[in-house]
Parts: sequence; C-alpha cells; structure tokens
Amino acid sequence: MRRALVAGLVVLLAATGSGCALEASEPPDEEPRVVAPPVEPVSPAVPEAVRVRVPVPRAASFARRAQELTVRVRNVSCLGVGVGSGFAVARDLLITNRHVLAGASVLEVSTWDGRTLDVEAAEVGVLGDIGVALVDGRLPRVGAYGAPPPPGAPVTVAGYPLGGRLDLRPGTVIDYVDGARFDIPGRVMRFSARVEPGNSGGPVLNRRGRIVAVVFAIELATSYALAIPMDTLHALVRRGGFEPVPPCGSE
Amino acid sequence: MDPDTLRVVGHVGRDADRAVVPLGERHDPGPGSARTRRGALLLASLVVLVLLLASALAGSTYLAVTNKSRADRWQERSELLEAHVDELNELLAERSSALNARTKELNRLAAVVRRQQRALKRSEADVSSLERRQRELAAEKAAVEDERAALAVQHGELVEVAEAFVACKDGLVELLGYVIDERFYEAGALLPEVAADCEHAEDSLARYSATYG
Repeated sequence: MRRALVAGLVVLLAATGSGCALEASEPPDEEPRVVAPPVEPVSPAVPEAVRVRVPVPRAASFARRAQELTVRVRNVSCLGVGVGSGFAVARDLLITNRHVLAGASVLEVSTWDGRTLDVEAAEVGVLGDIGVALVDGRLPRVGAYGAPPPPGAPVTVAGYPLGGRLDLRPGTVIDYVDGARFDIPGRVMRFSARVEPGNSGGPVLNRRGRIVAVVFAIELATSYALAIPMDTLHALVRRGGFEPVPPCGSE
Repeated sequence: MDPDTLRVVGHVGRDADRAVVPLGERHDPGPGSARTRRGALLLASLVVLVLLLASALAGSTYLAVTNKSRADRWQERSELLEAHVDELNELLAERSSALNARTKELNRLAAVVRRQQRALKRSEADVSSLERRQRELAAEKAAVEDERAALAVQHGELVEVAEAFVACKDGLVELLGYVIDERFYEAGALLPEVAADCEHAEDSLARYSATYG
C-alpha cells in the first residue's frame, strides 16, 4: 500500500508540475528578412586593370637615358673633320677625350635629337686623355656617376662609332691595369665591349645607367677597350688641371 | 473504509493469525485498535499528500512565474533584435546601393583605363617609331654637317690655292707688262718673286690634289 501511495504521489506531482508550468510566449515564426539588393559583380576589366604593370616610361629607360646623355663631338681642324663622343656633366659642360678636342679650329656638339650646339670654350687635361668643353646651349641630360664596377660586371658603352648613329654596346669589365703604359697616371679599366674610332670620349655605364668610366682607346694586343675610371679621372683633374686645346698639327 | 481495501492493505493481519508472537514484537491489541491505526495512517497520508501537493503547486507556480518573466524578457530581446535587424537591413540596403554605384563607376573607370592603356601602347609605339626616325635623321644631319664641315675645310684650302694662283697670275701679268714695255730691268727684278708665287701656287695645288684627289 505504501508503494502504491508513493507512486501515486509521484505521478500526481509530475502531473501537477507539468500542468501548472506556464508556457513562455513563442518568438515570431517569420525570420528576419535580408532585403539588401544583390551586389553587382565587378567587371573583369577591374582586376585586369589592377594587374596590368605600368610600363616604364621610355624617358626613364636605360637606353633613353644613355642616348640623352651621350653627345657627338665634331672637331674641324686643319687635318679635316674628326668625330668623337662625350657626355654631359652639367647642363652646358661635357667631358670627352683630349685627342677628340686636340687641334680643333671649330668644335660642334650634336645631341641625339638632332640639335647642333657650338662649343664656346674647350680645354684638355694636362694629365691623361681627358678634355672638357663648354657648349652654347642646353645639353639634354646630365649624367650621374657610379663606383668603378668589379671585374666581371656588365657594362655598356655609349657612343658614335665611326661617326655614325648612336650605339649602345654591351661588355664586361675584364680588369684594372696600371695606366702608365697608356700615358695615364692611375689605373685604367679594360673591358670587352667592341669600340671603334668615334667611341672615344663616350661614357661607360654600369647596369643602373651611371657613368663609371670614359672610353679612350683600344688595346691592340688584346683588342680590349680601355677606359679611364671616374676615380682616376677625378685624380687626373685634381693633380694636373686643364690647359688650352693644342693647335692643329702640334700633337 | 472499504473492507476490500482493508483486506489488501491489511496483510499486517497475518500477525494476528499467528499463535505465538515472538518477544520484542508488538502485540496486536485487536481488530478495533487496528482500524483506528489505519484511519490515523490514512489521515496522515492525506495530510502529507495535501502538503506535498501544496508545495508542488507552489513550486510550479514559482516556476511558471519565472518562466513567464523570462519569456517576456526573451520576447523583448527578440523584438529589440528584430528592430536592430531592420535597421541593419536598411543600412545594408543603403550601403549596397552605394557599393553598386561605386562598382559601376569602377567598372566604367576600368573600361576607360583599358582604353587609355591601349591608346598609351599605341602612342608608345608611335613615339618609339618617331624617336627612331628622329635618331636616324639626327645621324643623317650630323653626317651632312660633317660633310659640310669637310667641304668648308676643302673650300678654305681651295681658296688658298686660288689665292696663290691669283698672286701668281698677277705677278705674271705684271711681268708681261714689263716685257712688253721692254723694261727688262724691272722684269728681271720681279721674276724671282713671281716664280716663287707660282711655285707656291703649284705646291698648294699639288697638296690639295693629294688630299682631295
């Protein structure tokens, strides 16, 4: 009887508990709607336009800088007309070789874009095969200097071989030798680019387009091109200075 | 009280049928007394039951009130969230419209950029071609100027040759005049000078010919 009583009690309690528990109000059936309109797709042209690499403007390219930097020097002397190369170190000042300026009665400079500038004054280095000329006009671009590259480094020589068109010729630095045998007090750079008469005075450029040397000759024994590195050039100017251009026939 | 119920419940009565009651066990006082005890027990059970029911009811009521309160809070929370969702939907719609407008603009700009890139490429090609032509013309101009300079030098030398021959010719004319006038003394004096001038002229011509062919 006692068991029956307890069981009845439990059932009663459960029924009472469940029956008396109030039901909480239900949340609304409809779910919150997202009413945003669909986003329009981005045109394929957009990522394409973003991916496109902006080409390097030609004005900043290596070739363009080299051609703007390099000038053609015409030497009219008693012996006829000679042609060499040079490069601007200021808006109206250029560097070339002594033998390019020597004996000139008239000196003219042609730029890559066809302008011809008269040379107002010119001098040659007392030491080494260097010369400077002051032009009546504005040279297209002034060059920047670089440190002499190590042997094996690629270089480019810019100039007007045989007085023809501006030409850029690649090469490699071979080594640096004592310039005494070339009448250059200081070291001289030997490199493998093919140079010809007319390249004299032209710049040797490193891979960044900076001037590292000035072409002045070809070594006949090896056919290597010879150039005066910028550090040697500075030393020659510092030690020897400049003198007037020698008259025609004196050298 | 129902006798059946008493019968079912009352298996205590078995003790009453026993002949011997062990020590320590309660002695059944008799049927009347047992009935009283059963009634008391039933009453107590009923009281307990009522108490239990009351406590269960109280508990249920408490739970129901708590649930109601919680449900109301959930409801409020849900309404609040729904309001937020509506606001967010509006914001989303607004932003989506703006994004669509910008996307359209971006697409338009991308198309423009693409057109301009094509035009730029064409221009680059044109500029490159023009620059090449400019370099060619500059080289030709420089070559022509070289020739002009060379011709100027040649001209200068030719002028020198011509001047030497003019001097030679002038001397010869003067010499001939003296000979015609039979002024041989003056002619003899002038002859070496004229001969030197003419020799110089011949030398100049020879040098010129050797240089320029």
